[in-house]
Amino acid sequence: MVMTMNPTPERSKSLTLHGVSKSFGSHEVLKTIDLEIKPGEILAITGSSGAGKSTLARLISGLESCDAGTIRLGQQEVQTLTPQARGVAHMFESYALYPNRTVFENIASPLLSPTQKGKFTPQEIHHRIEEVLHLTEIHALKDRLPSQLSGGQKQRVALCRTLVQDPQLYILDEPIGHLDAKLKHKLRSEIKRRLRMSAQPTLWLTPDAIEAMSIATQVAVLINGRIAQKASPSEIFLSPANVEVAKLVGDPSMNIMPLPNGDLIGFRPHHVILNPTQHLPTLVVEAHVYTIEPFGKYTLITASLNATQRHSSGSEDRDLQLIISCKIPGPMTELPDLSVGQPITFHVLHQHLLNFHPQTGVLLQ
Amino acid sequence: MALVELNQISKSYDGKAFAVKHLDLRCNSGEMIALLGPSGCGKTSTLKMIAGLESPSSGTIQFNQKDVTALTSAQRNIAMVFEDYALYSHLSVFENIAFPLRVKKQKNPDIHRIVTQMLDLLRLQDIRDVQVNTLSGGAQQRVSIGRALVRHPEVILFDEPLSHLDADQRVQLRTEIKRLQITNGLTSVLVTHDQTEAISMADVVAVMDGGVLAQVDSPQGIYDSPSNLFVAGFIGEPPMNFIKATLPWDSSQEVMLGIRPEHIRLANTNASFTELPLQLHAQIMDVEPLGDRDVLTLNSALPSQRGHLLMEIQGPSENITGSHVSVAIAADKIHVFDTKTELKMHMSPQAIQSLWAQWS
Repeated sequence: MVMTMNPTPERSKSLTLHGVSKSFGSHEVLKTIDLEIKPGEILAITGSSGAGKSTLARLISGLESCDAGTIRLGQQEVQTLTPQARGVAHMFESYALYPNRTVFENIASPLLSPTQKGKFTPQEIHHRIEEVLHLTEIHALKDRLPSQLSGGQKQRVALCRTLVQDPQLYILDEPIGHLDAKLKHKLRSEIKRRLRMSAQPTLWLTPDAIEAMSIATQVAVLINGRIAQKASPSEIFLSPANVEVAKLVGDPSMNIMPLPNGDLIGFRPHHVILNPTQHLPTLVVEAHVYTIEPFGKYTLITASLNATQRHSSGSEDRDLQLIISCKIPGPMTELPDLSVGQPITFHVLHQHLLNFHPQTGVLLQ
Repeated sequence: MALVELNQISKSYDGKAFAVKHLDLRCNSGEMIALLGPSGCGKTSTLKMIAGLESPSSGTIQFNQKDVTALTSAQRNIAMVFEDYALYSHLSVFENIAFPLRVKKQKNPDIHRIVTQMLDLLRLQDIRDVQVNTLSGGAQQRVSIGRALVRHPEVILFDEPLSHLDADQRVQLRTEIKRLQITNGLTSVLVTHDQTEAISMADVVAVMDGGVLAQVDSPQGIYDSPSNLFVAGFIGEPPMNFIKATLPWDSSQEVMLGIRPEHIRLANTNASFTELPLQLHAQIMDVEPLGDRDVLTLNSALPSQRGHLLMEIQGPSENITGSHVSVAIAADKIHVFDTKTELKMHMSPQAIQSLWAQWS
């Protein structure tokens, strides 16, 4: 069932964006975006809803036009080309399935369009569709209409209809958001393998920063229409460019705390320790237990900082400063007895502290 | 707050198939029980019967040892928090929370006092006069919790309360509900399909499958000792690895070994590696960096599904796809199930070790 997808060098083109901007009325949605995705690379763009992800996707596939900047596939500028001429396989967040066509017909539709005529033999078309139906575990549903499907099933049909194509570029807008955890996990690694072996660049959009790290070669964090950081998954996690990126990436997000001397520090929940064993310098945090949440393999303790440790910098969200999250590995049964409201002392090794600029929030090296 | 008991509850909508079958459940006063399972497992039917929105085909429901089976929803003094908030969208935060009190014709000064307390408790003071349909999902759900609590219900029922929220709001509200539940001693029933939600929030987790109880236990108990294959596969992310085997000393006995991804260790990172008896050579097929942990997909000689094993290690790690590694597992971390009955079996670490010998 494995499909051969040898890169065809003459067709392998990078996607390059230079200075791309877009406004709707007075609202600047995207501000001078620069990007490059090479063939076989997956660039994941993450950011909260409203950050401009879907608009960026629509500019690249030609459904909106740029106010400024250039979009290139290989050497060719494509801003003036029609969506059909760009050859982008775009999976929409809204799925956009044909309501009067079966699952099989929906998936076949891009391969039967006039621009694709003669590209695949009927046998090849059949083979490609069968393969993606099995991959996404919806083979049994191939004769159903979209109205007979659940949300997660519709999402898989839309995903199939995109993966079945052999385009210049794949754009996947929240492709696995509505699937259950197990299928999500399976598809993440299967799709990643396919796309990295393919001859095309892929743009993957998701509000879930963990999903972005798991599938991408490079992760770009989009905040208010600007790329706040573009780096490898581990670099985004270890050295977030600023407080906003730090808060967006991680489960739960990074603890951000102002110190009495005016410094703004950050530390990851899994770096918090209850009993320091090594004789290394630590930051000591005095707090009271807010909640204790068992997750099986780890326990999440949230704690409210004692009044003496609350040093407001004014600009930050008040609530986030007061509650510190601590991710303690191992089952809850291995923890000392804790109850809500009791005092607790945490330690964070100095080597695990990040320093941010107190006013701008930019990471200080 | 009430002690809630379900005794031999069954529900059939057509007289033939059972949505819920012979269910016995108990939620102590001041505790939260989670009904967890995939869609169609009977969790929502059970919630509706506790709420009085459906009547059981047989069996009884008791609040504080008083039979409420025949009582209507209104007579039971329960409150519900819905997936889609179900607020009065044209009313303010204050008026939504005040609504049940106005229905009860309480006096204005009392309403003002009670609602103000609730706004403080839920940290909604700053937005008390805002119309609710302009608020984020997380804030709307806090309002609907406030509306449920002002009535001092015997039981509060949460129906997928977090499923419509963005990731960050979900994490915050999960913590807030848990905190409220503990500090106010709320007897609560949570219905969810999300296993992380159930095990992190509830005191007791009831896993349901096909209308029957698969297991009831503490969250840690469910995670550490799943009593059957269904629970073992349903709880845990990434999921437990399953390996099919026939016992060398009894060829009529087929078993399924279950290994959680975090119980597999890499040779080069664990000092006590040599003490772990179950060793294996494998090739890394995929590395998923997830921030503080990496999930590796391994290809090995084990007869696991598609030959793949998932392992979870601390991240970010330096492992690369394609490289060969040695891994090991402690025998006492392995779960064993009978493939016919799908129930947990007891097997000594020595027996597991001799079973393992065929693969290492």
